[in-house]
Amino acid sequence: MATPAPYIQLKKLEVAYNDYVSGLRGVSLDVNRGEFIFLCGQTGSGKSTIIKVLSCQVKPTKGDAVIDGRSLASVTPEEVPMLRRKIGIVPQDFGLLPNKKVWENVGYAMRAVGRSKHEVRDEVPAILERVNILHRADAYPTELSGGEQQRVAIARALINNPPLLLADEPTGNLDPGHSDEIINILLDLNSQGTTIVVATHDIMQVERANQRVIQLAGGMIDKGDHDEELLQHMHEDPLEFPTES
Amino acid sequence: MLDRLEFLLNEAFVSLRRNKWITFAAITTSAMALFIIGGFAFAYFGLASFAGNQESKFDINVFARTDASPEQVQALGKRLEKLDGVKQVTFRSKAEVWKEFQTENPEISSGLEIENPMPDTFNITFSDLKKAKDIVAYARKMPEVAPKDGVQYMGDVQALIEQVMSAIRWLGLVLGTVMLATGGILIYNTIRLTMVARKKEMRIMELVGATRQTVWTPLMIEGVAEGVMGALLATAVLWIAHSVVAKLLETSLSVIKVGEFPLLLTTIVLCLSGAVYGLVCSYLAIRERPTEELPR
Ligand SMILES: Nc1ncnc2c1ncn2[C@@H]1O[C@H](COP(=O)(O)OP(=O)(O)OP(=O)(O)O)[C@@H](O)[C@H]1O
Ligand SMILES: [Mg+2]
Repeated sequence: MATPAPYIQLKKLEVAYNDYVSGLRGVSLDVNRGEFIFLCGQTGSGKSTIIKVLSCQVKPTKGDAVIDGRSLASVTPEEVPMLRRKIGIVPQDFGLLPNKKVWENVGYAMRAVGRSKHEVRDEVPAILERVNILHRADAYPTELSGGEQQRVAIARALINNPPLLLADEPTGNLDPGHSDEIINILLDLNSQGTTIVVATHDIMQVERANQRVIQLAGGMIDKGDHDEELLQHMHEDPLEFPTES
Repeated sequence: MLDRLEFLLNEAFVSLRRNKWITFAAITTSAMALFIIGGFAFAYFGLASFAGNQESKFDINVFARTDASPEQVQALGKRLEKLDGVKQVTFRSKAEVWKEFQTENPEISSGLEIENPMPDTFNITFSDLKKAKDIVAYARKMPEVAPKDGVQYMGDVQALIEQVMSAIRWLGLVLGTVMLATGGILIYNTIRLTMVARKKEMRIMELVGATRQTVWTPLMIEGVAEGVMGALLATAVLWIAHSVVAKLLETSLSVIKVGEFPLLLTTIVLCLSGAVYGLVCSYLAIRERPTEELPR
């Protein structure tokens, strides 16, 4: 059957941070448009590295990552901004500016990508509404709970209306109640058509969300995907943990 | 477009305000550099034009021996006129010179009935100042010229001016370079500090896909602003210094007229230099930015 090309393709992706430490050691993975996947695994298994490659913060050392037909191995620094506008990135540490209010945090990001003051005024409320934080628009980040800060970070990732959202440990510092809230927001965005990749080690959340799970270990895929080639690849190349420097 | 500019300017001025002290240091040091360079340029061009105006005044007086006959004196005049580099030879007889002296200094000469002690005098002006030395040497050798102090020559003054000018040139160059380097390092450092202070903002900008120009332009504006503010400060200080020096010179040496301060020209030249300088320094600082983690 003729399936459309996957939205994201990792092709034997390898990332070496230096001669001794590798982040990924050959990961192949297809993600379709509109999918929601969890990247799971222990500390150091390579979850963040996949997110960083997809968001062009780190280049593949070997192999390739392709988003929407665009190979990331050959991306030049000049092309990165425009690629990033098609990807919403929710960093692990929220990355909110403490001296700016919630709406200014989102507005500032919009201004940085060339939107006018007018557009900021018109669009920010709707964006904040999407993640259910509009009622705190005038608060400073320090006045928010972790879950609320996380929602602002997600709101900021939505300014370019990206078809893909990458979130690194979005529930990392949150209690189960707030975690649920965040995952629900992400599921909601996914139901509106956004492809979502979440790196997490929060197994409880993963099980509750009931979405596709990619299990990573030592920079390789462990289980959870029924890709014959991948399983084979695993057998060929037994687990070997990278030496910590 | 205007909206865009507003955002970039705002970004630049936020950081100018944020690192107040280092900004202050960068501005004042650049101002000092520009002031020194500008001040020395003024002194240099001032002296050069003074020396230029002075050329006609750089004349020599050649005194004939008192015992030379009128014919010999006349022949001497002819020979002097023919020399290369001579513009004009004016003859004043001993009688004229004596009369002039008497009218100019009545207290010394009135009442005295002495014999005219003045020699016949040739005043020589030059068309080419560089030949002055040769002409002086030639005149000194003439038998009709008084053997002792027969030639009154102002060349020493000129040599002095030339020496002062070259000293100014070197001093200005050295001091200016040192200050320029200091100011440049400070501007560079402000930009580096800004980049540290605004790491978070820059990261967010990059994360959401801001172009490199958007991230860089505020930093460049900051560098340019520092350079220009330094230039404006330098212009103001130069203006004050100029009027003070002018007053001093005009009261103590009434001969020297110091011209008007060319405010517009100075402002434009210094601001342009400051802007270019700030731009270069901030560009260097930005270019050395540690790149995002890029594994091989
Ligand atoms: N910038 C870096 N420089 C060097 N090594 C790095 C760098 N970033 C990550 N690594 C290494 O790469 C490996 C994978 O790291 P990664 O951050 O992808 O793991 P992770 O699965 O996200 O872990 P965690 O759950 O702790 O966030 C680890 O061994 C880590 O030490
Ligand atoms: Mg991680």
